Amino acid sequence: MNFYNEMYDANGGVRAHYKGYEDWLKATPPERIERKRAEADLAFHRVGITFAVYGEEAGKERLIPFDIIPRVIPSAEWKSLRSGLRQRVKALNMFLHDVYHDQEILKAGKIPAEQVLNNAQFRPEMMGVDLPGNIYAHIAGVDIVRAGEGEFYVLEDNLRVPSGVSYMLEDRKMMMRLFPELFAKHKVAPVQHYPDMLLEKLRAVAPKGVSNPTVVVLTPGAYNSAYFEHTFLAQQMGVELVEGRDLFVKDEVVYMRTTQGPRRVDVIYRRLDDDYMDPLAFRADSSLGVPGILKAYQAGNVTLSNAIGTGVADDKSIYPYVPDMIRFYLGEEPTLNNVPTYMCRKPDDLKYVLDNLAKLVVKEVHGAGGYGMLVGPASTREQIEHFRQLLIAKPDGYIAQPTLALSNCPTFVEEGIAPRHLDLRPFVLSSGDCVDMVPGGLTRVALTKGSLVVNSSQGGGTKDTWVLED
Amino acid sequence: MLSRTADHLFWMSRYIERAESPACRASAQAHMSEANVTPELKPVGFGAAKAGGLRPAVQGETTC
Repeated sequence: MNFYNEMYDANGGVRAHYKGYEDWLKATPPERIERKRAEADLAFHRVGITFAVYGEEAGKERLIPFDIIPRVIPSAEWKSLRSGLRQRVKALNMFLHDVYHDQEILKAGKIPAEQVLNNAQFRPEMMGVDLPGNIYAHIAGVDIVRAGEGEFYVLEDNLRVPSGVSYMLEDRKMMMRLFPELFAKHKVAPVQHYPDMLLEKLRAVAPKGVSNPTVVVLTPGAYNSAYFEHTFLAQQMGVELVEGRDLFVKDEVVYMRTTQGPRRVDVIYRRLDDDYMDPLAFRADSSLGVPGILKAYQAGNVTLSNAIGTGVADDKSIYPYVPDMIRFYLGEEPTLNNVPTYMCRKPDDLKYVLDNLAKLVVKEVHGAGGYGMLVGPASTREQIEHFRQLLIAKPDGYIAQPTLALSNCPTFVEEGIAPRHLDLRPFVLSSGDCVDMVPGGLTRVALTKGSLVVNSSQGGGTKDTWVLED
Repeated sequence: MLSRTADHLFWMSRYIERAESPACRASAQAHMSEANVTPELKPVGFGAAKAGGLRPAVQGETTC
């Protein structure tokens, strides 16, 4: 397969937006780069920017490898990505509002009703609940990959609790500290205002009648894989970081326990899955949630961000219908492409998938984080056979997609500089009619040669993402 | 401040306070073992110093 290289064109020439960086890289002595890379490792250790990998015994947390070659996006390309993202997230929010109210899209037959209503992520508790600004996914992390010149595909819309934004911010901080001269030469669009933007959006969706809302970040606790990010965001926004046991509900109002007595909480940026939010409504064995919070939420006395039940829109079985949502709600043609998807619950699709397993990527419908997936071309015969059995046993639990020729970018690896595949996760913030994002996002890179899986839990690294201003 | 944070701060200071008295004892014993004390008292001093995580001050001196 021929892969699109972010830095060089097909003839080996440097792309215009990488020219400045390439010159710098050539002119910088390798010893200096080596020293700077060691410095970066040490600094990441000191700050404690870690990621916990579940099920791995050796050390609870580990560093996410950081690569010093940035991913550069020219301004024109970013503008088209941005308008595509705005359109997509807007439609997804409209879809969520519709699904929990009049269900026009189901009545119009655009999406099979049973796909939505029987979905495990559909929350009947949310039916008829009105949310401020009709926004469900205040924070969306849309995973985008490039297959060719101007050819972008959305892999996933993460509308539940997308993580990784702290790495985006820390990567930039690190780059500026290590190589200030690069930022003097390039007009890199800033990203540091993300926490301010997030706080502003969270305050904008406070319950009606609250003029100076109290915002908190709700974390499952120090053992969560993204705990670093929870502390980071709370600290950057200047709000309290709370656990479930710090909150309680009285008369359908949420309070936090402080040294000055109970204090009312208006907006909760929760980094906890729906299932664990309220032991009275969802999983009764959850000790991480707040009993009675769903009642307070339904009564409109508190805003949860993201809303309960957003999972029904980012589920892999709903994903194939997103372009139809955009056409249905906005009357526009989608700017960003969807990856063609085979739904294994359809007998014809299943047959095709079983016949072509070695060419396809198979994913669990409810899976995330790169677990429970098969990348056909990179798998052994045994792995493929194992998935064939899984598919036959439970076809509606899987979807399949053609293996995309993900673009790659030069990356420092043990042997020197070599191309590695990457993706991009912009963080899209919504409140009311306004959909915003900081330029760029988090670039994740697969460090294993030929690997197409970039998830941090699967040994992926990160790069700083530069959107160049004109 | 969250009550939980206040609670953690309180207990952290309590533990530091508690650690202070064994530390004092260990340091006193360490001084004693360096000083010229009667042979029958020496092992007591070393034992306490060892329990406090201290190494013998005099090279070649055996601990009990």
